[in-house]
Amino acid sequence: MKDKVLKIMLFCSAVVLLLLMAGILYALISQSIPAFKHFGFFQFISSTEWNQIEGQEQYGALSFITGTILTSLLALIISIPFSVSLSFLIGELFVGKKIAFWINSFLNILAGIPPIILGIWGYYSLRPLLISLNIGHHGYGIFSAAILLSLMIIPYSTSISTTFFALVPMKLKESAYSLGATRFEVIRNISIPYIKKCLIAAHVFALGKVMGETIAVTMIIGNINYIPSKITDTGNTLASVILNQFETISDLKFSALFAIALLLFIITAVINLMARYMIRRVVL
Amino acid sequence: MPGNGKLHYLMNKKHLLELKNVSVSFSPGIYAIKNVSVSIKPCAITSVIGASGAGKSTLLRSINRMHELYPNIKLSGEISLDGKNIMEMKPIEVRRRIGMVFQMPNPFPAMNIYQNVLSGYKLNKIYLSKAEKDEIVEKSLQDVALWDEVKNSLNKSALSLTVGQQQRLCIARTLALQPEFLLMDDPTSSIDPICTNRIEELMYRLKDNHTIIVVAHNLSQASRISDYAMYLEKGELVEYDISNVMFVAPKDKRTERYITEQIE
Repeated sequence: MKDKVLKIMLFCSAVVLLLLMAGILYALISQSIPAFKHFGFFQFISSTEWNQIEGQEQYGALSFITGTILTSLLALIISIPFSVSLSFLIGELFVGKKIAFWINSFLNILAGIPPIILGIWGYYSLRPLLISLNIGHHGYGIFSAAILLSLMIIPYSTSISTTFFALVPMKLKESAYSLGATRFEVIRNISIPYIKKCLIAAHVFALGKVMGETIAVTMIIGNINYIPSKITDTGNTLASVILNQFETISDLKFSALFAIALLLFIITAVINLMARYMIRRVVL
Repeated sequence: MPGNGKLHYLMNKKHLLELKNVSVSFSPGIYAIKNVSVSIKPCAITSVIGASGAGKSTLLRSINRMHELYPNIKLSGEISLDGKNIMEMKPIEVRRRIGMVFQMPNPFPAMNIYQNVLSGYKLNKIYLSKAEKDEIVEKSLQDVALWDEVKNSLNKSALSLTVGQQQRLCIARTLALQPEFLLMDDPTSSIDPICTNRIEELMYRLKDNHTIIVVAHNLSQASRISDYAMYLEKGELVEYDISNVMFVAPKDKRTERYITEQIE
């Protein structure tokens, strides 16, 4: 009897979650339709216009899509050397040792820092540093935002990558050691090639996670609505434009912002599904 | 039994492997190997027999310092190679001189057949010309009687081979580095009788230039292939003798009991 009750409860929570998900998707789609109808879907995603003057309203998402992709990819590039090295240390080199525990604890703390704190740090500490190095417009820009995002990616991708190191069969490593390989050679020639695809998937996962990051990015990206031509330019992302523009809005702008939210939803969902597919192909 | 190779080694008094009071413990007070002292005969096949958990594989793995991969495993006593304590040598050097073949074939999945044979060189950062590589690959695969079967598919994944072929590939990979000693941990347990025969023939050929220590769960195989045999029981070396002598007339009652049980 208890089993049956538990089964029903678990089933109900799954159904509630699915309904919630469907509700969110329905709201996003239904609210986006006026904007897509007014501008046309392809026109909306390929236009960089953002004019909110009444009677001349023009909204397009291209600069935000570009900004989102640029900041996320740049953040990913910055984070990869750190996350891969850290996962070596925790998952392979110092596995089971105290130092691995300390590094892990530090990463957990980093993962738990609320984005607003990173945003404040970015605004008051990182920005002056970038100004002194003459990077970005007064320290604002895609590059500055990417640094903050990379700090959010590192704990996440390190944690997933570390798990994958444990997947390398000991018998393979033993074979390599028995041939006279050093630890470094085993990591380089055996472990990494074995989990290469998983490591890529781990980072794609992390990319999906930070793509929608809003507050820290909004504080430092510059919030200018155009396509950046270089990484030090200011820009805007899908998430930060929603945050910045959500007040005092017309019906059309309201719908345009929902359309942007829908695009963000689709992009992150596709990236997450891609990462899951990659991991499933390698692990299973 | 002694071939030219053996004479050469004996004359040069080299390639001698000796264990003195070797004990291996997995945790304090619990020994997998207890006070084993033995001098391995060069250019011969020595089989290690004993029940499961007797310490056969542990003994084998301590000889090329594989035990060090597990920090909880402690070794005491001395293992010497040409009179030199292996613990004072670099593990890389020890492992290159003492090659190992495992129970289950374990080719490197990210490498093709050709690369698998040469993996020892890659892992040791030994750079070879294309001609040298080709020569080593062909010779090593011929040594294990695999060349004719794979010469047209060297670029294929090593995982595309049958289990028996994979095991021969792993032996070729070990032989490619030209080790003086071969430690084989029950290398035929996972393969069919035809492949087992091939590997036994190979071992017989290799002993001219290699000293082979093989863990054998199968007593008939041990008596078929080995020149010398050692019987381990609960981590202790009970008996070490010429195989024909030990299998026919064991000196220790414990060896006799084990052999009788296995035959029955």
